Amino acid sequence: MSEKLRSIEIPIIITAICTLLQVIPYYFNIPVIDQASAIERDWMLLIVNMAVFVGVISIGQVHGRKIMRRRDNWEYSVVLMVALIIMAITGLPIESIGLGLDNPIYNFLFINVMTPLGSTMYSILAFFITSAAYRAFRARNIEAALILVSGTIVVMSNAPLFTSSLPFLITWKNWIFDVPNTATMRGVMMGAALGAIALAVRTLMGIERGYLRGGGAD
Amino acid sequence: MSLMTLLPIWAAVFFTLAIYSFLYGENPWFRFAEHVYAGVSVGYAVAFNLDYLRDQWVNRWSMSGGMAVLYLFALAMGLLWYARFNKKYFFLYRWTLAIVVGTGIGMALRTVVFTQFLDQIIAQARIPLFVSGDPLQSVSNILLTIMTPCVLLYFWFTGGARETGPMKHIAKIARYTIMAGFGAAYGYTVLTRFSLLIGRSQFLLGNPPNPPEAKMAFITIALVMLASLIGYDLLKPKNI
Repeated sequence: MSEKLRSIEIPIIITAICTLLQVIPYYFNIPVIDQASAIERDWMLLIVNMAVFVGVISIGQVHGRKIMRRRDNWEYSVVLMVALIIMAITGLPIESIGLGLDNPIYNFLFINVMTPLGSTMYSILAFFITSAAYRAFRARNIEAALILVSGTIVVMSNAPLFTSSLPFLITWKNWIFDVPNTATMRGVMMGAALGAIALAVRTLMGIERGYLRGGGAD
Repeated sequence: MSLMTLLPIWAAVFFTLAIYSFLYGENPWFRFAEHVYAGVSVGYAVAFNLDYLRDQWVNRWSMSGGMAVLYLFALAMGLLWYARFNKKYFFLYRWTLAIVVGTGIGMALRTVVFTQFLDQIIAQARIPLFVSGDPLQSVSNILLTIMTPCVLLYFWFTGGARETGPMKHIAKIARYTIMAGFGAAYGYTVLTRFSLLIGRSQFLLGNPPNPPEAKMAFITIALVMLASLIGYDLLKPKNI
């Protein structure tokens, strides 16, 4: 019995059933299946939310081991674990004892630590992206020149310093977005859609099994 | 100004500068801020997800006995995620994963076919080649009608197929189109990053609507951080 439960066919069948449960109501009007499909979608959200501790356990394993064995820079792992524990505990949805999303410590950490850290992490990329642009935007051939010209026009057209004296840059930018950018994105989107459909059909048929790997048996 | 007013501002300035200190080089301030960020982000995810589960139970699933059973069943299936940490019960983790992957694929099949494929073909087919009284728009429409299939064919045919027959010319048009399109996308990415950088700079300088106290905190913390970074660099043992 145990061997049968372990067989790879069971998750493949579950995948196929779940997929068909979503696809069928889109093409056929069967109220029962439509209802089951809606419940399945809500279920998926609950199930995905239940996975939250997978990351916590993984982080605990990695950093816990680092702290226990006093490896290089283990002090930072302590900082990470303390930050995680304080944020998670103060945000627990138990309002009766003062915890939850309205807890002052949770709010302090969210507004004054997490938000500035998040936006600064993204903004620091401005320096690296500029350095990458300097290296990439060299007109060595027509293709590279096109990247350089269209990128420069887009950047300049959003800077009042240039558009005040060169207002036609805005028209040029609009044309770049309306024609070559639309053509590129449409082509990319349709190509990606075909790929996604092919992958979905392969998974539905049980040909694609990559997501089921791991655990020592395939 | 009370401590409770200043503390949040100083904390935000400290963490902003600690991240920017990476521009000087890898250093303890940055590593500290990086680990705090990782910790609070995971803690936030835990709190947010548990809040979602609680809200779903209170506002929806606890309304009837049948719904409650379905909710508990979903939670039980969710618990199977943790079977991945045990080799013996790893197969149970696959069941939960199969539900999520299957539902995701099903939802993608419903939407991708229409929004990313059929709707795009319809939008492309509806473009009028000639617009009376607007020759520039006509040229743009003709170019778009030529460029889109070229890009699609370029992605379709790879390797040697691109170098023979008419594909040689199609590939050239597609490459030029893609480069111009990606250049614009790159330019826009640069702009969004700079927009964030300007936002953080305005916060550090205390420009309205940001609190003006941030300016003093910025000068003080920046000087202390810079001095400590130079000291750290000087005291750090050199690898010969």
